[in-house]
Amino acid sequence: MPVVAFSQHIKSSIVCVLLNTFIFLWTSTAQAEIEYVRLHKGPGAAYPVVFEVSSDHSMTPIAVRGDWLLLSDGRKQGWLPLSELHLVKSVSVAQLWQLRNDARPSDWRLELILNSESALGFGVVVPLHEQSLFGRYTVSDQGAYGWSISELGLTRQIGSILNFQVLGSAAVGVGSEYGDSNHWSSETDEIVPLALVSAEVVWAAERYLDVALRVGTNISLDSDMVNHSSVSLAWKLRL
Amino acid sequence: MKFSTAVAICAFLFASTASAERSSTDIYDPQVKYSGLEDLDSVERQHGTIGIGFSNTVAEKDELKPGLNLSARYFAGERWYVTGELGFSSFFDFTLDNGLVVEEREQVLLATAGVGYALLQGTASTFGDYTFPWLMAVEVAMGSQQTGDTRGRYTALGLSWQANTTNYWYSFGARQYRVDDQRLKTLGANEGMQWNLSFGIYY
Repeated sequence: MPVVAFSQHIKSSIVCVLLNTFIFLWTSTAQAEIEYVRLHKGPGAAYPVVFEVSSDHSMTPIAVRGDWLLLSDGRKQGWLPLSELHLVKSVSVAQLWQLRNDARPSDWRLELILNSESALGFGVVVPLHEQSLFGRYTVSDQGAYGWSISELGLTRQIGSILNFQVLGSAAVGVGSEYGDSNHWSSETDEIVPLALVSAEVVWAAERYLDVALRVGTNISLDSDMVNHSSVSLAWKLRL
Repeated sequence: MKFSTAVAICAFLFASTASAERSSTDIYDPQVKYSGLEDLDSVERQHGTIGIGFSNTVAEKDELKPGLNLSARYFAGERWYVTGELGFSSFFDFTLDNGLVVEEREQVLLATAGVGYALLQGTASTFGDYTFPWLMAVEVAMGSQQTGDTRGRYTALGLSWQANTTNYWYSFGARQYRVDDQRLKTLGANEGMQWNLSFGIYY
């Protein structure tokens, strides 16, 4: 009798150990599937993390700014980058695709230019096959006198250095001056035809913003053939 | 625990696991897929801010010059943004120098565009029960200022502190400016400090 009881006790112990091991492995595997997302106070990685919630926690999108999404569960809310949104199980694949697609910038650009010839400018860049078509307006306004350039041209990538793009541009345009300006050496304030070339190094500062350093020269296509060269800093906003 | 009981528990667990696998693999069990795209219509898209504010200018040889400004910002990323601003103000006092005059109540119209870069981003709290994100940005603005009958290129460099709540946006900024207007330059009123207080919403 004691031998039989002891044998049954051993068998029961072995089964219990196996059962506990199985349950432990099953639960630990289930826990490993749960991931945690960190919600920031603002739409940026530099903002402090205010909440850490499990990926299966139900949260609703509230607002989108750039490629950050404001999520809320009704009690607390925080910002999450769209690149981590796939971790949130309450957001469907269709929603994820739609939000990411909305945040994708186009190839149209607006430019704001600060020129070494005491001039300011703005421009529009439109994709055109492998090139881009651009229009720019540059003006130097000194109150009593000044000049301006309106140009239309093509630009394309001619190389790259590290993470910087190198672009080359050619354009034609017209220049005008007013007041006592003799920028084009014209005795009368006439409109002067121009040819312009430039090269620029472009740094992708943000998803929607490029910053470019541009070296350019222009020459008037009249009898005076006046030449001006300049260095410009351009902020190129991707729309 | 009896041996038979333990075996029964194991058999039950094994059977339930196996049946669960069968139900998910062998039985066609279509479910309605939920896209949730219609739910995204209520998600607010925050492209930037528009705001209205009060500004004040202190030129080198000029009295205080209060004014109003309309501003817009477009978020270009986590830290960069593009700005646009319209400012309206007027000179309060006569300024006379070298025969050039800025008349009383002479109107000043300012139009600028620029960029801002958030140097610092953090969280502020009011009495510990309400917190909001803020940022401190350096801003460059360029444009044109029309002063009475003359105008000139306007450039400015400054700092802006901005608080962003869920629905509203507030800012306080201070900047050094310069206007390339020969008349104002002769009068010594072409550069100085400006500060502004603005309030706005997201668009």
